[in-house]
Amino acid sequence: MLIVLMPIGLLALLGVRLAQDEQRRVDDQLRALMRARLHDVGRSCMAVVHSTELELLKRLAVPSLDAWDLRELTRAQRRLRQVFVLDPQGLLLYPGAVGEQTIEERAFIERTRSVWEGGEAFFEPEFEAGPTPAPVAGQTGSSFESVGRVWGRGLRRGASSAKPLSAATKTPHATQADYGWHTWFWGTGMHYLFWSRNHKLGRVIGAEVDRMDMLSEIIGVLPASGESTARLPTGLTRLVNARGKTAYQWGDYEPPENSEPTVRASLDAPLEMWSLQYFSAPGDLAGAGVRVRYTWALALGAVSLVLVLAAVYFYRENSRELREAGERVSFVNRVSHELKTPLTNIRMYAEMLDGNLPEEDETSRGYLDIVIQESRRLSRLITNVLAFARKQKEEVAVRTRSGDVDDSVTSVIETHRPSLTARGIEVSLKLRAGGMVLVDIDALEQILGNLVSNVEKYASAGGSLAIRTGRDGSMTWIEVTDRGPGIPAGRAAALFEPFQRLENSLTEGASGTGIGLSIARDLARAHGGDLVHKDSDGGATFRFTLHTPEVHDEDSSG
Amino acid sequence: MRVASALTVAVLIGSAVEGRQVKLDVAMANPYLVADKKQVTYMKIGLTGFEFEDVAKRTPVNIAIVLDRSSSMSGEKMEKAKQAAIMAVDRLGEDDIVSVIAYNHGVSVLVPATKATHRGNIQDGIRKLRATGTTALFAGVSKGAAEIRKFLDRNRVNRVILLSDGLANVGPQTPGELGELGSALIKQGISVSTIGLGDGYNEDLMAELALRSDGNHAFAQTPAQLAKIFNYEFGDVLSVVAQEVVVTIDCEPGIRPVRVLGRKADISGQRVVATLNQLYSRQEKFVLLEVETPPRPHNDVLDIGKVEITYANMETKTTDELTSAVAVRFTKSEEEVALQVDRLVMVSCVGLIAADRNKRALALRDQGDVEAARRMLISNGEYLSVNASSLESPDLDQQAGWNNDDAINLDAGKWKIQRKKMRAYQYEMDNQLMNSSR
Repeated sequence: MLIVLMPIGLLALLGVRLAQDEQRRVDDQLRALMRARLHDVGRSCMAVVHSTELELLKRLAVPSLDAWDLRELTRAQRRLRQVFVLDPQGLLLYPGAVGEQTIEERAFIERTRSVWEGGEAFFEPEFEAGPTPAPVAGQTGSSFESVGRVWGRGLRRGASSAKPLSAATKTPHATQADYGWHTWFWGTGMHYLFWSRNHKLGRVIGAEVDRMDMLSEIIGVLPASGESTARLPTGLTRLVNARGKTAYQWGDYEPPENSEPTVRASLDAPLEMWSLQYFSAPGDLAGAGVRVRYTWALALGAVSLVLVLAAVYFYRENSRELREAGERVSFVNRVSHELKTPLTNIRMYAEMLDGNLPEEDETSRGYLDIVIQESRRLSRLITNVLAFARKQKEEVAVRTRSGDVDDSVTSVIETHRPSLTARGIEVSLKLRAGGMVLVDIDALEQILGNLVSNVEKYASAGGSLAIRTGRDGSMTWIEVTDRGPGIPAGRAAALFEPFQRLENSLTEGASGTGIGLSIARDLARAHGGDLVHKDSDGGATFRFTLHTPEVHDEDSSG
Repeated sequence: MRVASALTVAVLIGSAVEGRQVKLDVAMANPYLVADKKQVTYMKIGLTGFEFEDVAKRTPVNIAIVLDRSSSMSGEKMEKAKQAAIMAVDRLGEDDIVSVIAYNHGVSVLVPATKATHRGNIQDGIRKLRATGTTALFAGVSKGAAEIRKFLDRNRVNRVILLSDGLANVGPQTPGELGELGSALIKQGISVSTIGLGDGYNEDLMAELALRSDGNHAFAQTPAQLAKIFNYEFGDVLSVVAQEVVVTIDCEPGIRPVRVLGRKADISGQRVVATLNQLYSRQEKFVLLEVETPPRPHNDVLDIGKVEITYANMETKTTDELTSAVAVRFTKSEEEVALQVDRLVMVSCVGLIAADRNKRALALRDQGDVEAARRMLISNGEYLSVNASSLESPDLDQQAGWNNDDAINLDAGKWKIQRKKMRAYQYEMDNQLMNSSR
């Protein structure tokens, strides 16, 4: 189960990570796109400002400074809210004398008081060499110069105190600008002054720009809500003023209150306090993300499905194999029972024949030995199969009688010796478990026989088989060591499972039922011991222990 | 015995003047003044639009109908507004240009500026309107103006007709800011007429926007009145005979121009400049200037000032100029002074003075001083009644009735509606719009 769930989990994790990355990437791309589009919109806003600049430059290039002409300019010209004239030092010359101001002019002076009094110089005061400055000709003929000081208090400034112009100001001359903007706050919002240098008259002529006209015109060039706007997707775009208030918005989406814009872009001077803000609707920016997520969920789902299907398939295959193996065993079991009787007869008569054969008939004796050995081998195989069948029915049991372990070991080796010799395997024995103990000789011989035949089958290349025995109190231990390829690390645990055969190139081709070690361990455990695999240099060592209490005198006689 | 007419000389300037001209009528409220006394009197510069020879040849218009479609407009208001607009479009001719804009929190251009040849399509655009959302009034007017600018032509009547029932809550929203917008639009030759519907709109804002742009302002108490008001408005718009009217008064030395009643005007030194965007056929608009005269001996004749008007003649497509001058005669006889009073000028003066007092009463009520406001309105009613009988003016009598009506409707429950009525009345008086729906 874990095998299936873990990859799915990992995949899910990976998928989510990838989806997040993808989401982020798509988000970033969309943001960049929207920012670019906002900048486009910003440019069309600034285009209004620039056309205002051009028109003002044209309007303010007056030939003379007649007060009524200036008034007429204010009255009739669009974009101008109020014209003003400054002397080169920044002294306000027009609107001038208190008694001659119109209501509008008074209001203008009231609005701009901070500009003239406490404000900063907003243009370079120095004029390039030019004609003598002309006075503003008032209607009454009085010069505005004298009365201008009333409003121009503190306006005279040296060149040193003049600040450089803002970034928006264009500088045709390297040292001083010929026109520029100045913004100030009054009443409920920002106001804008535009000024230009009139070299001919030696004056700075400026105007308070009609801010509502400018805003209105900007709104006019911006898209309306119903328009299908190729400029931005379906979200809402806001033009936000210097005070953070929405001046205009378009798009059919209404973002929740206080929500942060997806992207924002500031306008350029003199509207640098203004910004454009775009709020993406759940449908556009987030929508792309949802699509991304769906794609990933889909991919993940597909992979998971494949994994689950594979798991189901393998599970079914496995259980089918198990079932088939079970059936095989059951079949072999039944056949084995059927085989056992004739085999017993074959062995009995072969051994009888062995006793009766004349000594000199070497050839016949040799043949008979093979018949006897092979029938014993067959008998052992059958016993294995029957033991496994018993084990399946939880019927593993041992019946101990008094016997000598080392004798049994010797007997097993002798039985195998012809085939061992045939495979070039030298046998060395170090037997130190002599003496009569209570032991199931059949079980002992079956365990050892299985181990030895494994060596025959899998480790014959090593050319060596060492068997050591010993006794440790009431436990007898037996070690079988070969110099074969050994057991790969990590597979030792699986060795004892039924039908496990270590499939690798070296064992390929070897035959076996795959139940030998399993039965051997079961028998050892039933005998109060265990069968384990021990690591050893260049080969495999199996060690099994049996509980073998010593035989008491009364028993030994029996 | 109309001495005033004898002293008034209207002179046509320019030899190329063909077709009819606006009628310029300059008169003093008191052609005879009391001798040896500094006093105040009024100069009235009256302008009356001529009649088009051929009605079919009226001035083509360029109109943007700007409709509030915020959620407060839903239901009957929206339906009536749509009906009124649809009906108004029916009155347009093939040379006219119309656009339809609807605004809530955003602005939709339902019908971009287009010739009114396919009126059916335009009206279909209006029918689709549904009310929802908040009120971006400034943006709505801006978009309307932008549509008009597409075909801006000094030989057309360029007008935004704004209908709103609510408070502007997106974009600029103070009367001052909307007034600035109005001032900017009039410089482009665009007027904004504002129609307030119901009791929820900001009458100061709507009046200021109309005032600064020289449009009309009207109050529709119920949606049913919209059709009538649209009709009046279109009647005005369709009968414009002169535009960009500039009135310049140069007072003679010694004459002090005090103020212009009602209208916005620039007074600087001896010069007074006032502008009227539009003159309608057969309707009189006027500028009333209050002047202070120096003491003069008996039988002295004193020139008060010269008047010059320039305007765009919509029939001849020329800029025409008219001049006139006015003088007064001094006499020791107070009976003579009283006898010589120009009744029509006095009616205008009384009307504007009363409208000014009505404004002050409104301001008092705004400050919460209900009693002072009531007293002022009652005395204003009496002032109008007295003058109505002495000047034999039914108009003043009607205005007296309105002031008395105002006086009894100052309580909290009725104030919201009454304030709008007062604002509309003041606006009509200041701008000589005698189409009151009161």
